[in-house]
Amino acid sequence: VKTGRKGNPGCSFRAALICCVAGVVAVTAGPAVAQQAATQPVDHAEQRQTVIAQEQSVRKAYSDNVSATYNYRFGKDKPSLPGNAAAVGEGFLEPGAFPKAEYCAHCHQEAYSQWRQALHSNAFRTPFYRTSVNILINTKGIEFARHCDSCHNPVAVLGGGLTQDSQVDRSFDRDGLTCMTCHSIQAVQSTEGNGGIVMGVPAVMVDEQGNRIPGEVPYDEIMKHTDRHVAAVMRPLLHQPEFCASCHKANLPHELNDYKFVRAFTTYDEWQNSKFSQRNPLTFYTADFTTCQGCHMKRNPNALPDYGAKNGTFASHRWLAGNTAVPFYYGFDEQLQKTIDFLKSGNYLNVDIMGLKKKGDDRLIAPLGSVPFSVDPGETLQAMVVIQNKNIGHSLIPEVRDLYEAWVEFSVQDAGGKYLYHSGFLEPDGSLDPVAHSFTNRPVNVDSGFVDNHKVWTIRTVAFDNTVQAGRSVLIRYEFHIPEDIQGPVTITARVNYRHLRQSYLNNVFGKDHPAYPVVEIASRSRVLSMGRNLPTPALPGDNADWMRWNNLGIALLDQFQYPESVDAFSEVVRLRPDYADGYTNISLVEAEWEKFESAQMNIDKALALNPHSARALYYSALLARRFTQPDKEISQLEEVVRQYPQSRDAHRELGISYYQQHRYDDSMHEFEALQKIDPDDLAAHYNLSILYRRMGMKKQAAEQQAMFVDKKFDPGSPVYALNWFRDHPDMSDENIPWHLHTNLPQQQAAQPALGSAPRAGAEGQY
Amino acid sequence: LIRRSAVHWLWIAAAGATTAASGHAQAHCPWLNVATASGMLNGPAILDVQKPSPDETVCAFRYTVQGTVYSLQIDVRLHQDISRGLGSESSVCTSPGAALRAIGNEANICAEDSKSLHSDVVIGRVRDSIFRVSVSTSARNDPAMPRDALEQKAKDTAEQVAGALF
Repeated sequence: VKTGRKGNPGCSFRAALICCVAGVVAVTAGPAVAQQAATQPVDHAEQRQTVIAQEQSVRKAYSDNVSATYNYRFGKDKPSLPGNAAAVGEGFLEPGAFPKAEYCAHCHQEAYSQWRQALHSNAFRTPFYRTSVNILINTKGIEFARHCDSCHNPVAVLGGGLTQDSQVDRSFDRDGLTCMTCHSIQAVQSTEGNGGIVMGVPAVMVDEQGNRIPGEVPYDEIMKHTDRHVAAVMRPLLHQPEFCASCHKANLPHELNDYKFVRAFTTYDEWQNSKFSQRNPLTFYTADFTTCQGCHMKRNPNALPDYGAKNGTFASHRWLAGNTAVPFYYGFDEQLQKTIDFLKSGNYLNVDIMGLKKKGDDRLIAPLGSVPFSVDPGETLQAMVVIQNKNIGHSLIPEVRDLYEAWVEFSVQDAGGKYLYHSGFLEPDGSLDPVAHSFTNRPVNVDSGFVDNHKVWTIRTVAFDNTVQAGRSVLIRYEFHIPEDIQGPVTITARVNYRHLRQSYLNNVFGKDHPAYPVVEIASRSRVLSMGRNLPTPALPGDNADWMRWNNLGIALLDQFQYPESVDAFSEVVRLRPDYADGYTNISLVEAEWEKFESAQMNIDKALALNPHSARALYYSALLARRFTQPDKEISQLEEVVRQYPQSRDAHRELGISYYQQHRYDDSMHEFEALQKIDPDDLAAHYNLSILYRRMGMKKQAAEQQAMFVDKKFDPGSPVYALNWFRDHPDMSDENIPWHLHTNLPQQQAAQPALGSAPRAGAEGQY
Repeated sequence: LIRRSAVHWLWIAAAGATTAASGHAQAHCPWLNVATASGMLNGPAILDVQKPSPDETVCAFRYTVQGTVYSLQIDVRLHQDISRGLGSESSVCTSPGAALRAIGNEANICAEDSKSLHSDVVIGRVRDSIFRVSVSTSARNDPAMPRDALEQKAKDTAEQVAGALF
């Protein structure tokens, strides 16, 4: 490990000042500050003031130099647009102001070692990223890449490097988000994302008054005042999920796409709506409060010395998640294995082959394993596979669903291992079975073509967008035939696989002659069907209890608009757990959706009788009260929900509507403003605030809200692009329909769905 | 401690700004800017861009100080026959090549030494583009650019070039 001094060849500070005076600031002038700070103690106030003044002087000169030729396409006051990154103070921030990771590594060897293999340090340089962003640069211009690089390379954006013929030394590219990127961030502008950070001038120390001392500081100074080091680099914001929101939430602004606001991904919002945030009363299950950092920066014993370790453990700087491609490409074997272990930990998904249906018989045999049933040769069966997003604090897959690939592999094999049915296999060329049930999307452009290579600026809509939201479940139906001459039992297996990235994108990046990228099985479950009678079998470790299996089926059926079946499933839950208030709430929720309001009221009353303080039940009760024109009850119940869950988007939104309907405009405005503070993109807030502000005479604010509503609202013309895409891809059209059937049987043999589209019979006929 | 005198740094900075300007006016290398090349060469580089054929572009950065010439050359060409192209490029090596991981689709590094020039060369490809990056000093046993520095700079530059080619 090099020391900061040795690791940072640079100029002396005096020389840098001379450069500034001469008006010929070197593009690497920044390290001068760090270098000087490293060579002189900062014990004395006078010295500290000098260092601060020197940094300001260097920065100004640097910024003036960059500004002279910078492309201010999106306005002089918005140099980072279409991204949102910003820095404290005036002008561009010289890249050399960021102490190198090697400087930090002197005391934080574990952190450095982990970070070097992690996604954050490789956020910019990987071929997977460059392939896409290079297209943007080469087709629209490098200034548009500020949108991507506000997160992937903020040092370049804030340093003014993303402009034509830039003369910024880009040697920092290889470090992506370096230590002092995250540890210098002072604030997030909002939870809008797109790199909405406010970067401070990097400092590893503050003085006694809390003033930040820019640049590197001798290690012995830090060791003398570790509290002041911590104050400089460990702001409370680093522990908060809003910190992650700055980059793990994104939209495509009109400056990028010359169209309108298009939502990209909302991982932060998904977390906020999950049980782990404890901010949403409407989740189906509950859990302990867990932040993004709680899952992705778990503490582990440290292998290398690190002053940041506590009690022998260190908060992971690997940020383990789903990306196996980057460690695979770079040969970071430890990161790769830990990523695979993370995905396979068994905590995140539950796969349940919940039930069977026989052709010509509407009865559901469920839950499999708990009830006896028989299977005979020659029968056509439908397996109902429930995939539960059990403990992911966001959707599967939360980001970049057009490139990352999770899917369900379903197989039926005879006793000899021969496939009777196989969906979700990989072709010999590595591509995925095109009609597999995948948790991916298909963005389309203005020509109704698939948006390949993550050219997000061309996206107009998505043809389909399959996922499993946090805490929810999906039901996937597979139909297959048992041959008349079957010998022995058949084994049905469902598994969820993950590959980073889809094969066609890997082919685009490398050409077709690349090694196969890892496919990781996240979760799976098999069941053996004997010919003849099948008796109940013991549950396996990891299997959900039967009441939860029914609950998950009910959730999945609700999301497929199968209301009667959903009520049936939730009724099984309350049969097994009559004390479970949420079971009745769930029935009520389905019935309300089904417009069976009287029955819904009866069931929500049962829920409230069991748990009078249930915010979830109160919320749905309030909506029913609105339906039955009981405004006092409606408002009092929603107020109680807001009291219990002050950061609930839904409760604020509905209470705002309730107040509005009762002409309580100030109160209504307050609620929508609270909602907007939680989610700055909420359409209901924009819409209602535009009306409320106008009513209050606040014309300027009303116009602003109206403009944001118009920009962010759904474009009613955009589905045309998706429909045309489906016309060209009829085999995929069912993926846009919640209820659909996967089968390898000819069309006439396939069972007809109760609602929704015709099954996709024959689509997989070649198998 | 790697430190340079104030005068030396001033010279670098002034010359860097000057050459950056002249580089800007005269030539543009698609894969590496003058500032980054100057950082690699430890001094203000002059850029010359040549296009020997429609499928080939050569960027030559050069920095001369006290009689020593430091150069960084990037040669990118499209090839129909990748293996033949890589083999042809590798013929200039004066040391056995070593495979590099995570630079382009594939890459190798080797030395290319002559009486007047001591270079480390990375030869690799991105899809069907073959690139050749060499970092050189004219001085034998140059203390300002020792062998390991040449090697590291060649690798770092090659990564930048490959990144731009993806």
